[in-house]
Amino acid sequence: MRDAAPYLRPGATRRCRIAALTFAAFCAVAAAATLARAGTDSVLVWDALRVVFILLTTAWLAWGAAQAFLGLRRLPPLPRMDPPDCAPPPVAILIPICNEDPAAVRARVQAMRASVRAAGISPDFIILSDTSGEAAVVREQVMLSPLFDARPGFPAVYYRNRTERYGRKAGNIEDFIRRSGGAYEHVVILDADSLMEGETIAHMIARMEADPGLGLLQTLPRITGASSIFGRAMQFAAGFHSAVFSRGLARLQGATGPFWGHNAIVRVRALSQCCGLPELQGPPPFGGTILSHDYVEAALLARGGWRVEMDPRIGGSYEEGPENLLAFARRDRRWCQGNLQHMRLLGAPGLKPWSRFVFVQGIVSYLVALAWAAFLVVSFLAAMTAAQPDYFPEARQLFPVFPDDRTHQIAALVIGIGGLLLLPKLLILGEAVVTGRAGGHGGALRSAFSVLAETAMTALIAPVMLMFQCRAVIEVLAGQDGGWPATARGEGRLSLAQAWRATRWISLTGAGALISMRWVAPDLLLWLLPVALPMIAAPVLIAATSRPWGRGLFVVPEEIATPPVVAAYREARHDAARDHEVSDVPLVPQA
Amino acid sequence: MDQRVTQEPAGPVTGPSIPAMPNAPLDMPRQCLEQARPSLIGLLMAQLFHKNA
Repeated sequence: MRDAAPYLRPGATRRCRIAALTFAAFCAVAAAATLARAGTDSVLVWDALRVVFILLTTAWLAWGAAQAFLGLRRLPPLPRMDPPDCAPPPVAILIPICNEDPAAVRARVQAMRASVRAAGISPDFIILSDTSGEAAVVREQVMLSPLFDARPGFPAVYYRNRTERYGRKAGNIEDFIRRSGGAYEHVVILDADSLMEGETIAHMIARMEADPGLGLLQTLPRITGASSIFGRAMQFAAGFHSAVFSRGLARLQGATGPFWGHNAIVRVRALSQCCGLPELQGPPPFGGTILSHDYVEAALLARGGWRVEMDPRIGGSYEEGPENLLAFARRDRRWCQGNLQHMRLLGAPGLKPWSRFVFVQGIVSYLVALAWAAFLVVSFLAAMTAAQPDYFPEARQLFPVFPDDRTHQIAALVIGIGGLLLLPKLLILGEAVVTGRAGGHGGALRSAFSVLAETAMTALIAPVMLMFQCRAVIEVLAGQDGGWPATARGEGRLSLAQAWRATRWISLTGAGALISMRWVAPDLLLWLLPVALPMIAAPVLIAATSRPWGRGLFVVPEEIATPPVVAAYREARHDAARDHEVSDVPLVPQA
Repeated sequence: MDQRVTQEPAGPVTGPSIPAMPNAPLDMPRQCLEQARPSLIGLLMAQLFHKNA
């Protein structure tokens, strides 16, 4: 079948946006109004600030919940795409790397090369290296050298190492487009830890060929290969919940994204026309190289009249995730700076309104951490400054006047916010059971326990992540550049000493808050415990969740039946590890 | 030349060679992301982040 029509209709996208925005606004106003009615007897300004903070945080929670609600309904089935009638278009699979483990890179290319060959397509594999350091570059080239031997029937593999590494990953790809882009119709952009099935790539090429207005097609990569408690919980959440959240996101985004920077196919003409990114005026973190370039590129493609679609129905797309909370927080620090930098781009000329709104979403997703922390601090101050109840405000009063009972309002607020957090997960569990999707996660019962365990773990680490995010936002707003260090892949288990060194500031802050509350407002001590105790125990939590975990819980379909390209990668990785002690034979470039 | 190798071979050529990448240049114009006349948001951001903006 050749299907040129967009699978997301503009009218439906508009209705979804209106519904989600209305829901978020309604929940935010309801929460703010409830809190306003439950105002304490403290200084008015504390109450006013708390209302503002609860408005912002509830709006964010409700927005996330709305995405889940919109994703509960299934999308139409994925169209079967026939191969193009004429000669297949020239396609390049771009693999940008920067000081990665070359054995793993080689194994991934070998696995994907065999997979695309089996799928009957022959895209070129282009390894775009930004690796620095003479020894590392030589080691990388030697390890990758078996890929350069031309094998009949197998796709060609090219490699180049940049000496002028401007623009990080986006600059790396731009350099390729400027030098070699004219040879290709489409490029599949991967990350160093990406894997895609050949059939998936063939489907995406056919979709691009059938739909000339489609500039970019993004897949939903599934996380594989996690082994620690933290990694497996994230892997399960990504597989179990994101299946629904991503459908909601696709319905909201329509033809304006998102693009996550990898596991996507892009039309070279659209990329070259629209995505030459400038350096922003001024120094980092707000100036210089655009860090979160993918969102900007999606916005620029949409500005150029191209459709940017994410299709979560496409399978066979994989990546890896962080194995412990410190690696997760380090990546989040980079993303925080990248998203806050988008403040500079809100007024960029010609962008579609929804593209600007996507920037706002990214910015708010980090500012909301500060809003939660500020809400807690202000609540603390409000309790400190609350006046003692005056039961006999009038002289010669016979009966006492009791203060208003605000229990109902507070209970309604707690239930409402808890509902926004938990209801989407419960509905997703129900959806998975009804549709049979839970079978891929070990069955209904095991899925339910996995959701319970993942929710409990998320609740425990939430105060720790809140502190990491608050520090990241404050650092960026204070003008501190966190840089964009290479991702340390495969790092897993952390010792208690390592975790303590990284999070002692969180433990001490939690302990300080608890001790202060004990002296200032002992009645409220219990309310602070769910936040302060995980903060104090942060090193233990981080070290414990970095330990390996069996397959009793957090099962994902890829563990029940390993996808062919992942299995091929693991086998090739094992073989490549044997070649690790190769001699440093220098390589010669062909002229 | 598209690819660069950081060092020339010291001795006889014994290793496999790196195939040259296709030579097919394509223009990629720099996009305009900052307005010549700053918007209200731009002015606000410049005030907020004066040191950086």
